[in-house]
Amino acid sequence: MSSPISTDNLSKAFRRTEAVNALNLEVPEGSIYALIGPNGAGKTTTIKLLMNILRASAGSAEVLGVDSRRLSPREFARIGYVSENQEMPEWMTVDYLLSYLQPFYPTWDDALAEDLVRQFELPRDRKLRHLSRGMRMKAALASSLAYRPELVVLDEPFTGLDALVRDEFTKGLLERAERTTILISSHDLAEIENFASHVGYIEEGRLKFTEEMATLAGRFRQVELIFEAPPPLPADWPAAWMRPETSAAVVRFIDSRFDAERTPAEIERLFPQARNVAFHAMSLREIFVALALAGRHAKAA
Amino acid sequence: MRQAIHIFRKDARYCWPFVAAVMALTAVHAWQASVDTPLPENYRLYTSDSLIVLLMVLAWWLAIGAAVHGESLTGDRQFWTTRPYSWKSLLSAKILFFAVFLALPVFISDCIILQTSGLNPLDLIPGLLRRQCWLLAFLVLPFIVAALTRATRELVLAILVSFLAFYTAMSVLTTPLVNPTGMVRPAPEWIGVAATWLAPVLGLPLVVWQYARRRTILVLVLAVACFGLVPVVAGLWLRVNWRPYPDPKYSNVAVRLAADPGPADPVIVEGRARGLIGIPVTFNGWPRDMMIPRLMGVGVWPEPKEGAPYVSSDVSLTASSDGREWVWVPIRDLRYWPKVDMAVTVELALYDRQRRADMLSGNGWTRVPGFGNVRLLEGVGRGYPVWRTAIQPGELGWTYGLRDAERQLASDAMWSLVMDDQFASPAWFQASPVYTYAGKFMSYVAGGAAAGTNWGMPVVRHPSQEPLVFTARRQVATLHPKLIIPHVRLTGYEFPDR
Amino acid sequence: MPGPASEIAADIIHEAPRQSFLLHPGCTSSNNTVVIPFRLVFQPGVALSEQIIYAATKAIVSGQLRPGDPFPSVRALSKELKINPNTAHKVVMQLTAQGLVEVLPGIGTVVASALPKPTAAARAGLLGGELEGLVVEAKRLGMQLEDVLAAVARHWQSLGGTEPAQPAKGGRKTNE
Repeated sequence: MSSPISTDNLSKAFRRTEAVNALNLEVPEGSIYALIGPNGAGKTTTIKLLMNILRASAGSAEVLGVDSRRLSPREFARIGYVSENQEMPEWMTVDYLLSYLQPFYPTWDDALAEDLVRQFELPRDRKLRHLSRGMRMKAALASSLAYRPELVVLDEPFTGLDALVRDEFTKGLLERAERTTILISSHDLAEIENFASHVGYIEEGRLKFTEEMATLAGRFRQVELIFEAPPPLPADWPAAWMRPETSAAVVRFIDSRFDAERTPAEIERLFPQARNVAFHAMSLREIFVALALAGRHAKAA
Repeated sequence: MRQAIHIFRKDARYCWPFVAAVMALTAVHAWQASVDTPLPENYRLYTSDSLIVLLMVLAWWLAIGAAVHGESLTGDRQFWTTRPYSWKSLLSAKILFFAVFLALPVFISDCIILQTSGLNPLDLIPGLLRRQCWLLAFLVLPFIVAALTRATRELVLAILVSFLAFYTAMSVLTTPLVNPTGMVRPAPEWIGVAATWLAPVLGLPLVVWQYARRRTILVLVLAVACFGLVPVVAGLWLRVNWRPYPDPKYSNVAVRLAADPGPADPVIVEGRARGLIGIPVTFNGWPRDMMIPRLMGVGVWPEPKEGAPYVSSDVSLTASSDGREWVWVPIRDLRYWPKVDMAVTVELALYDRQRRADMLSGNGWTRVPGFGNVRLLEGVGRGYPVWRTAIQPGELGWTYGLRDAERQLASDAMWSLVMDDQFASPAWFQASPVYTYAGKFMSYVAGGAAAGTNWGMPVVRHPSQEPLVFTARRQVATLHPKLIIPHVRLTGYEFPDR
Repeated sequence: MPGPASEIAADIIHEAPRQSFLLHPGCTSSNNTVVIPFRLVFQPGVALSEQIIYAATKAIVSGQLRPGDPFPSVRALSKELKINPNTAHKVVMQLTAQGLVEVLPGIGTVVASALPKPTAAARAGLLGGELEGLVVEAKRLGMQLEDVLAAVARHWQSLGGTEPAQPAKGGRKTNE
């Protein structure tokens, strides 16, 4: 089975800026793919292009095997889309929203919808416009999961939600995540770090890298070297080592290509005087900050 | 389709305030319009019909906006674009909404108004359906505006702009075209018809395209081009290419003297004690019964020509027993000159259609074949307003005559429409079917003895027992030929003493 | 492979509050809150599945979870820990393969009734992470092995309990 989402040099230009620039994204089936990147990197634009909300200026994308420009009701019946950028029909009550959407989906499961409403503790008879932001996102998620979609696309779903609602949202999502592919773009890295299986980093409209979460976590390390006296930094600084800092007798940097066998040897070679070497694993948040900073410095240079 | 009905039910639920407003205004209008005579004293509400019609039209626009904006077609934040909506179902649902909540009430209201006016709606189904088509043409504009906007604010703005543009374009099209000699002619009627039908013919495909592909910018540009530029360009083209006045089509129409007066002798066939000169005339180039001449006046120049002419309006046209027609010019005013030149100004109205029927007295409807239903109403002792149902909605140029079988009413009283038909073009949607479609109120301008006024117009009395003949004629041109009579000798006649 | 019956957990007094939940056969969606019966704080850098397996194994070996106690299903793990279902699946597979957990038809996932007897080396292995951290930090501070062992002994006595080498009784272990 081909990937539920794959793009081919997908590009979108707004006036003079390239919001998305020759993107080649591939989301494996059954994965939970996290799309991360700095503000304005083009994550939301990418998702809108995939959902045929915007029209690409160049390139193409394929969603569920169909060109994204030709997404028909048949495909949308298998896609669940939740976005903070989407306006819900504010005048509908929660109950009415679900009963209104039900005939559109052949796979709608009333019992499941019931379940979701109860789990999210949504007030049935209240209009959407009278719900808090968190409630509204939960209602949107409920209305997008009740038909067991094969592909769930979430665009910044956690924005502005308190910790409890974020929890509920995630639990509701993961509980029904088997045999589903999930694409989620979020700034809430701590939240998604634990359940994302793949990660794609977008910066300035380009996909800088895409890999499995385990691989990403495996190759980033914060390295701390302790010396007797501060040594000079070697001239041939490896490209994969970022953000070197020196203070007193300590040198710190981030290794983005850590290898348990080769890196210690490399360090031995470049810093023979090091008294102590420590490797600290990095959270997704720390990895993101390192990448974003490096990107900003590269742009400024 | 079931999805269409499902969406329609949602729309009915969401837009119920607008639907209620439309229904209420349509009902009030129906009630208002189903009065016996559309005279101000008979109005049921403290306002004229036009205010209610205006509110009704506004309610239509807002209802269309509300329904269409439920699934807005512009922007990138809509809820429905990532849901399995079939655009065909969506469009069908909106059309169903307009059919049920806008068109159907109008249809029912039309039937009610016809019924209360004494007409059977079942006889007039084709006309009723035609009115539905006019309604469709009228509503395409708000439909496309709503399909290109996202919210009420934009809709209202677009309404204002498009009305401005629409009326500007229509004015450009229908204002009389001026030619170098200063004579004016109205623009041909087909322009107005075309402009009106341009709306649905061009607008509906644009709406469908917008629903299918949502290419807002493109559709907007095309819509502006169609609704704005096309009529403007057509109007400008017409101005450039318009034929000079008078239309060569009528160049064969002439008023001529039956006999050549010759250089010296006047043409006097019959002398009268009062001193009238009779000059035989013939009218050529057009069927005589479709031509109505009116003598406006005569200018008299003494020979040799010097100075200004003496002008008199006391000229008349009669037919003699042998069927010839004579222009009569009084000579009592001219006895001081031996020989004169005369020029009689004639206003010649040409008609291309004539419909005639015997009128019933009382309040019943008379069917005038090829014209419509006409009703003669005895207004409170003040005269005869005549109502008409038209097969077509208001057309320009109809004039009406009412005569008794033997003599003409008030010597050729010409009834011309005071309201509606004068300004009506097919683009004007008339709110009440009876008032214009089924009935038209007319006053008439009488050329003869008047007794009292009705709506500021003179009326003529007539004993109601006598049968009447109703004639409707459709005027196509008004010519102003001059009848030149040279070398009229005025000596040798006896003039009455003062 | 499940070994001979052990009495590891038989007579240990537990202080940790136990929350029981019902698992009815055929219950598809229960509204009860499923609590993960072991404490877990995610650390970056180590694979999630490993961390969970580690915590679960510790809980089972320490007797905090007794044979036959309910163990969260794949779905419950994924939902409660907010992890990828695949990861949860991996955890349960691994634990089943090690004989610590079994899936009974009609009942669900439970702690295995016949737990393998953990050796001293295995127990030491469960402390691997802590030991490694201790050693790294000690080296950073420039301590010697004897100093470290002496410090460990001091802490052992001050936290109460009998001498270290009484595996059968298990001692009174207070969970934090």
